[in-house]
Amino acid sequence: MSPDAPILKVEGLKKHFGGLKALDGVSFDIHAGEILGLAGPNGSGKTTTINAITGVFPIDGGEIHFGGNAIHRLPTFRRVRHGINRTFQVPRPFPALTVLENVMVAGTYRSERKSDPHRILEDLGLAEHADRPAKSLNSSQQKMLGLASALATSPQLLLVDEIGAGLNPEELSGMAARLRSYAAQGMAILVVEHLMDFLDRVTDRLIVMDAGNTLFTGKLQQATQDPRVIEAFLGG
Amino acid sequence: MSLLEYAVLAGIFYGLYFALVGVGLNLIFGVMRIINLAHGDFLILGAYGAFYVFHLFGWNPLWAIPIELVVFFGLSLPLYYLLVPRLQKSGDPEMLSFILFFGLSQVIEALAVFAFGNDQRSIPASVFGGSPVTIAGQVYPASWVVSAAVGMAGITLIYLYLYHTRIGRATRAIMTERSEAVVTGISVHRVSAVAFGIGIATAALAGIFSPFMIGAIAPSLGMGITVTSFTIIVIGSLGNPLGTVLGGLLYGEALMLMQTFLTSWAEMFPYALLILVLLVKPTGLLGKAVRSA
Repeated sequence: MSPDAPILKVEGLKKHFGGLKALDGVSFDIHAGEILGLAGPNGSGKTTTINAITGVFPIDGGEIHFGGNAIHRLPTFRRVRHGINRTFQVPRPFPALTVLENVMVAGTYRSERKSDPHRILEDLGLAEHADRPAKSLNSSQQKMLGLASALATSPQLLLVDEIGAGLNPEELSGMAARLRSYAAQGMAILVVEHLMDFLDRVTDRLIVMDAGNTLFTGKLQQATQDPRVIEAFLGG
Repeated sequence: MSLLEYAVLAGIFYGLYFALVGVGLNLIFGVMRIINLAHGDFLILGAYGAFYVFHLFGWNPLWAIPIELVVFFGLSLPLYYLLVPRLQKSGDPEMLSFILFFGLSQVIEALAVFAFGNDQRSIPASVFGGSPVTIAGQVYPASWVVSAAVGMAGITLIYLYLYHTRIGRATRAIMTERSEAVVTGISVHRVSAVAFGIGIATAALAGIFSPFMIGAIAPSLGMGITVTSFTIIVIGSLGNPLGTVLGGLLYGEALMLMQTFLTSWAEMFPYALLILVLLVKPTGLLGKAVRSA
């Protein structure tokens, strides 16, 4: 793979749920160190795209290449081991395990790039809760734990699903700074978000989706001027 | 020393043994959410293993422990990959597992009849030494003490596996949130297969001592032992392997107290206890809801 090649290349991704075309030929790519935003109205296919890339369900058409290798037939855990991980819109920690154990479990299978769970918890402000059961955390702490677990697998591609929802302005600023710092270290990040101000602060490029298709790709400032985006997503 | 003290101590011996009887069934349910109705049949196969180790080779049945742990763990891995992944792709794996493992139970029983015959078999308790053991002034058969000690050792090893190993941590992660476990890079089937193997191997381990604790063995006894195991794990908590210790101890105490003081009611009482627990706390004494609505 050449240094200029994208780390993730998605081509003609299709996913149907019964008669509903959730993804209808979505194509895009991300380079190492890039933060790509994914926006669009509810039901446009943003989370479905993340689920398809991570292998939560099989796709009905198209291809996904990561690091030059086709990964769309691999099970989810293999994709994680290749270096792809995600956070969830609604955090889903292991409730009976402690915060530290949650991160340790996630880091268990990354033998090539070891992560330090204590340092990750420290960086995300969860160190003082390390020995508490995950279920005792509040929702924003659980979001942080979800991010910590994803980071423990040392991802080269991080998919972040509406991590800004429910965070206060200070937490949002902290999250934006964190994502920028991860990207500066070479991590590719796909950010699904409704908060345009947050997307403006973190993303290099933006994709706007509608009805399972890519409506717009480019800078966020251009998106806000695009009549198709205004009609489908931003509102006039 | 009173009869009550005798019964209470005997209940502890039996309880530790019954915890071992149930823990494998509970581990498999906790990790895979499938109900292994063939659990008692694997236990009976383990008992036959001990029987033949003693009668064919003249060895102490304790030699059956390492042999059976390796053999049953090894054989259960292909069985897992043959049955469980397909089962879990179905709409209702829990219900389907009832049917599938009931079928497996019948197959094992039929093969056991074919291989071992229908006659009841036993091993003399004197293999553990002729002298009974005196504890707190009470005299107990040595086989009870050995069975309880092996039961405690088995439960301790399962605790160490679950709480002090990487694969155990992954196992607990799957038990609490299977879908999240997949996306953290855990190979759910590999970890589940190990848990399945441990569950079957502990059933066989308990089987080695069943001729001393449950009575003479026969192929037809498997389903009854499965029901007993269910009683134990439901009392403790379904899906929580370590809750099985509480279930086993309560079951053992109930059985011994009834056998001592109300002999004719002894067989019924543990099941009455099960019904009471289900009515008062349906998730078991230590349990939380394990099924999603």
